Amino acid sequence: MKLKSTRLGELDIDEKQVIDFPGGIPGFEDERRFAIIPLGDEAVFFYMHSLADPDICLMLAVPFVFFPDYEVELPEEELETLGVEGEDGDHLAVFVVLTVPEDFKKTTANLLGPVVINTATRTGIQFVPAASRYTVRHPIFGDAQALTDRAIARQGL
Amino acid sequence: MLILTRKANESIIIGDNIRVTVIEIQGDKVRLGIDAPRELSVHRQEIYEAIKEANRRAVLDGRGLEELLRQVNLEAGKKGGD
Repeated sequence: MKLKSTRLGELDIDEKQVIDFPGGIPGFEDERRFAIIPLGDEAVFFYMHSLADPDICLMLAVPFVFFPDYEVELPEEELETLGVEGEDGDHLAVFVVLTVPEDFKKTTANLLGPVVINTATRTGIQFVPAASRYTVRHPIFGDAQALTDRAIARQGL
Repeated sequence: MLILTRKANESIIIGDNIRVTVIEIQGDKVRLGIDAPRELSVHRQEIYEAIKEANRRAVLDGRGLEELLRQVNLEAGKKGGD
């Protein structure tokens, strides 16, 4: 299917990439469907693009690449929204929203409110915790060298 | 705005099925207990607002992103070519 994007032009996406967000996400409560589109083969970065609004495109990253100790604990009601039954969290994928400024080295990740997707039911939420030790702005690159190292490390995978 | 005075252990009911109870008052802090149906999410306003602001700021405007991707691909490509 086709997806219109102000930023990226017309994209050809697979229906399997479309995720339902029953309550939207904070700030975009009316956007109920987003396409999650991987960038490149290594799939560390993803676009999260609204299906309804061509202007709304966020960038996601797999947090564990940049923050190996990152943890998310979801309460039961969120798991229910995601359609996770019992202990079966196998299909859950965790992403964080990046803010990419003009100087990309200052890119930050929102670790406070992760995006969690059940890939089996293709349902997603942006989790708003009751309390957290994380903030909405964690720099993902310590310095230029760290960036190089990470890129190299990923290439080795 | 409706303003009510409540003491510790007293509650207010909102609609049929939301109950907010004052659990404890200590100095300038109030602990609240909230009973609400599961489908209603209850958030601390400041956390919800922080995520909302971050999302709005995060909507891509392009230039930094291209640089970021170029850099990551470049570095990965460099290593791959060794």
